[in-house]
Amino acid sequence: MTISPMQHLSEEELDDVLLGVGTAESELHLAACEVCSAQLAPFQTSVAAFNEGSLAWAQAKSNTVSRDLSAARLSTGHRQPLAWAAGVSSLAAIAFVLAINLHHAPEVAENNPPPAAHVSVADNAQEIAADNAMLEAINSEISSTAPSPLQPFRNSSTRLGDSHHSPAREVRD
Amino acid sequence: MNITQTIPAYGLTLTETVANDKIVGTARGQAISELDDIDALVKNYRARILRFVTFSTGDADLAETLTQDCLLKAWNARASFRGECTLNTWLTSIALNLVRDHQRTQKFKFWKQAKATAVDVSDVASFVATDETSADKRLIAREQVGRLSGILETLSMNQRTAFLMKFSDEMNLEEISKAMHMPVNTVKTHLHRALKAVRSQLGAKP
Repeated sequence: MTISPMQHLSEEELDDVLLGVGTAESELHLAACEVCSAQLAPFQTSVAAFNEGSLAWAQAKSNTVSRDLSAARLSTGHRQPLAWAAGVSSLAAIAFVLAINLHHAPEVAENNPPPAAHVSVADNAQEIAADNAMLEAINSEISSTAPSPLQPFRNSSTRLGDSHHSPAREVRD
Repeated sequence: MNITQTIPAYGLTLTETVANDKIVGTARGQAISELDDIDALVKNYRARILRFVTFSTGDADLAETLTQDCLLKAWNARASFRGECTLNTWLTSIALNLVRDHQRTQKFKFWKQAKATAVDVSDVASFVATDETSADKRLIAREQVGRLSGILETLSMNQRTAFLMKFSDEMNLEEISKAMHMPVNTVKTHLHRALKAVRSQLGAKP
């Protein structure tokens, strides 16, 4: 396409020049035409100012944090040896504690034999009783507050079975 | 002697002289050595990446975090850099992927907006043309930065990304296409729309 000196570049042609894909004719025309150059001037000066200011701003911000990144690099780069050291020291500590416990275990058993066992059995019995009481309470609560869609089933089970034989008791039995 | 090289990952075919090949090889070696030294990486590229992420996301604090992640990721994956593009393009691609990942995982838009720490444009503008002797020129340049920053916020994510890559990071269309995982024609379309919006709002057309 040939552009006459009097014919100015279209918006698309100007954009193509800015994108670096303009034709040779467009470039030549732009170099010679003040009107077309003036069309691009605000864009070019704004972009130049933006690039200069934003890069200087980013540079100023980056200068203050470069040490942080180096520190992060060090922590990332030496993570494996540190993890190994921590693991080995933890294992050593566990082994030490286990060795002491095994060494002193017979003495502990001799010093406090039956009372601890009695207490634990009694505690277990009390806990079981408390658990049973709680389960019975839950069962009775569930059976008394059955949602309405289940009501017919509750009634039929009552008719079929013993009237004193509640579902909760069936579960317990 | 002309040698035709094909870069499979980028689908590019380059015809270069042996001398050019040596130059490319030297540049690649320099880029790889820059990657090995994280201090040099930070010194030479952090500001550019920070600028790209800051104006892509519009969130200054998030940009700091993603820039840090980008450089660490690049340094950890430095063995995979084969010098098929410039180091700046490679880093910008990593940064763009991080920005996209963040946007994908950021589902709670309310908190996203509430937590966002907007970029202080006047702060950015204060770094413009400090060597200008004329106070008027300084003021105009700062106003231009403010206006362009505001216009960038009105663009879609793809338009803004393509615009920043083209006009701030000076990447060519092929590089932008690879970084954005889009065909070159799609990149051109985004750039044309971005240019139309930016130029019309800057008052290029009466």
